[in-house]
Amino acid sequence: MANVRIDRLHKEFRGPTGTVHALQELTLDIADGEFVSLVGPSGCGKSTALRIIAGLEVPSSGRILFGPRDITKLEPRDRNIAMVFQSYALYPHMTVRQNLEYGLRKRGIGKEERARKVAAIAPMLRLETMLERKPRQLSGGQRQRVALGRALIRDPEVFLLDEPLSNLDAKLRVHMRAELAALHQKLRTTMIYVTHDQLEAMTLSDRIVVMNHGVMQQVGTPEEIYSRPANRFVAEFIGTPSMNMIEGELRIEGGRPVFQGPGIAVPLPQAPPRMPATPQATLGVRPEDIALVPPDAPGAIRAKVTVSELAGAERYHFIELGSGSVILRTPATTVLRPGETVALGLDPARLHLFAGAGEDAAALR
Amino acid sequence: MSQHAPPAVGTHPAEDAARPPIGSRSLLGRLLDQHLGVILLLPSALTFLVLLVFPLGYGIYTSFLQRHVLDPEGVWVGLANYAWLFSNAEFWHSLWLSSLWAGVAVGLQIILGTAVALILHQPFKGRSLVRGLVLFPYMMPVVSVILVWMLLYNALYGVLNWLLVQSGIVDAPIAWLSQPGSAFWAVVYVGVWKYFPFVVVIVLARLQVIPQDLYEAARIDGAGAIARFIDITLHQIKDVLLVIALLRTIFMFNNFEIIFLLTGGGPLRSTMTLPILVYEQAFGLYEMGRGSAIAVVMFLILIAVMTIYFAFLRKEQD
Repeated sequence: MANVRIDRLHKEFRGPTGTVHALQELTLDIADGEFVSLVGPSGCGKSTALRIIAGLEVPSSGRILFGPRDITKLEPRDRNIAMVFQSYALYPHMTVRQNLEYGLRKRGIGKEERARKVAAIAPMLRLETMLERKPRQLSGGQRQRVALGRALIRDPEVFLLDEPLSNLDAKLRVHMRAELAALHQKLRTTMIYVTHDQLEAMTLSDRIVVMNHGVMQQVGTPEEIYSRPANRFVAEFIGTPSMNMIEGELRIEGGRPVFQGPGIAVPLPQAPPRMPATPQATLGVRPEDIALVPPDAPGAIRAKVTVSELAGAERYHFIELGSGSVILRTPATTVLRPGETVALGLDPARLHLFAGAGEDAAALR
Repeated sequence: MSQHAPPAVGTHPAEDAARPPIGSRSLLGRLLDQHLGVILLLPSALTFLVLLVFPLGYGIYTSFLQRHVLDPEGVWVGLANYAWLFSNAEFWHSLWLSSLWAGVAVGLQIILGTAVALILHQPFKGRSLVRGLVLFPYMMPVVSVILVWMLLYNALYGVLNWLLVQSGIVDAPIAWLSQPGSAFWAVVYVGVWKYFPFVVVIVLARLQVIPQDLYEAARIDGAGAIARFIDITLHQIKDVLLVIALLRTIFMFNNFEIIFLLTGGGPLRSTMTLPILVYEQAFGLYEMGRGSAIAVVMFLILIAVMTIYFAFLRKEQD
C-alpha cells in the first residue's frame, strides 16, 4: 500500500502536424487507500496520465512517486501496480485460471502458492465454476470479473482502472459499479480510475479530478465538484442534464449586484469579493435549482414551456427564458403543457457565476 | 456449410404461405419459382465439372491404361501401372525428395517469412518502402528468377562463386547445380527465396490486428520480450501459420518449374521430385499411363495431408 505523488507530469506527442500536449503539468497527491477518478471528455489526457503511471508511456517531464520510491523510470513490472483495461485484455488462449495466474507465474511464484491464491480470489469474484473456461466462453460481466481478478491476485500497491465498465451494457454497468465500490471498501487499496462517465466518477470516488485538454480543471470530493465547480467546463461536464448557462453581464445597479442576461435580470445576493475587469459573465443554475413559484412571488421570472420530457421518476422541462432556453427538473408528477406560461424562481444561494463566457471561465465566489 | 446455403426459392415454408394459389401464375413462372436456385447454380456447376472433375476423372482413368504416344487408344491394364510404381526404387526416391523439398522449403519459408514480418511490424524509417521491396521475389516471373539464379550459381562466372573465392571462404568455385550434394539445397534455397514473401504478407496482416492491450497487460504482468512473443504473438499467429503451412505444402509439393528449370531433375536424379518424374514418364518416355498413376498418387497424398489438417483444425476449435 502506498500514497501516490504525481509531480508536474507533462507529456507531449510530436507528430507530422505539430506537437500535441496530451498532459500539462499534472500535480496530484493521492492518499494511501484513496479512490480517485480522472474524468473528462475524450482526448482530455486522463488515459495518458494513467498509462504514464502504469509505465506504458514515458512522460516528457515530471515524476511519479509511490510512497518514498521514485518509480518514474521503472518498467511496468517493477512498479507493483495492476491494471484493468477497457477491453479486459484477457489472454484468449488461456483458461480463466491461467489468466489469473499469469502475473504470478512470470514472477516465479510456485504452483501451490498460485493455486492457493486463485482459490482465495475466485470466490470473491464468483469465478469458482468457470476457472477452466476460456475467455470467449464467458459473458462480458464475467470477463470483467476475470480482469479484476487478474489485477487483484497480485496484491498490488496501486490499482489502475482504464474505463473498465464502458464495454458493459447499462444494467450490468450499474451492477459492476456497486461491486467495484464494495471491492474498494474491502481492500482499501489505492485505486486510480479513468472514466468519461461522470456518474461513475461521482458514485465511486473519494475524490474526482476533472480534466480537459490535458489540463487539470479541478480536484475535489464529488460534493465539492458538483456544488462548487471551479469553472464553467467543470460545471457543465458534471451533472445530467447539464447545468443551465446564461451568458450576460454582471453589473452593480443601485449598489446591488445584478446579472443582466438576454431578456432577464437576476439580482444576486452579494457581489463577488473581487469584481472582474470586464462585465461579461455567465450565470449557471442546475436544473433542480429552478423552482416553479406562484406568478405573484417576488422576483418570479415568467417564461414559456416548449417541451416536456418524462425520464421515469422525473421530468425535464425545456423553458424559453429571455432569448435562450433552460432545463428545469421536477418530479414526474409535475405536468407542464407545451406553450404554457410558468413563473420560475431561482434559488439565490445556489446560483453559480462565472467570469467570462468561455469554458475556462472561472467561478466567482 | 450446407445449412448456410440459401434455400431454393419456394422451398421455404414461410414463402409457401405467402405465395398466391397455384394456377394464378404461368407455367414458366412456377418453374422459375421452384427451380430458380438450381438454375442459378448451373453455370458455375458446369464450369466446375468441365474444368475440374472431367480432367481429374480422365487422369484417373488414364492411370489404368497402358497408353503410348504411338498407341493413343491405350490398353486397359488395371493396376499394373501402380504395381510398377510401388516396386520402382526411383518412385520411392522421388517421393522422399518431394517430401523433403516440400517440408524443408515450407519450414524455412515460414521461419524466414515470420521473422521478416516481425521486423517489418516494427516502426522504422522507410518501412513502407521495405514492405514493398520484400514482395519483389514473389512478384517476379519464375523464368526470370531462375535465369538470375542460374547466373548467380554459375560455376565459371557466377557472382556467388566470385564472392566466395574473393573472400577466401573457398579455394575453387563450386558447381552448385551440377553436384548431387549441393544441387538439392541450391534448389531449396531458390524455392524459399521466391515464396517466403507470401508468408510475410499474411503474417504481417495478422500481426497488425493483435490487440495492443494484450502486450500491455503482459508487460504489467511481468512478461519480458521473449515471454510476450511466445505467450501472445505466437498464439495469435498460430492459426494463420497452420493455414500457410497447408497452402505452401500443397503448392511446393506440386511445384514443377523451379526445379525443372534449374536442374531438370538432375544431376544423377538428385532433384527428381514427383512432378518431374511425372513429366519424365509422360512426356519424356511417352508413358501416359505411368505418368498419370504417379499424379494420382500425388493427389491422394495431398488429400491425406488436407484431411489430417482439417481434423487437427476441428480438434483445435472444440
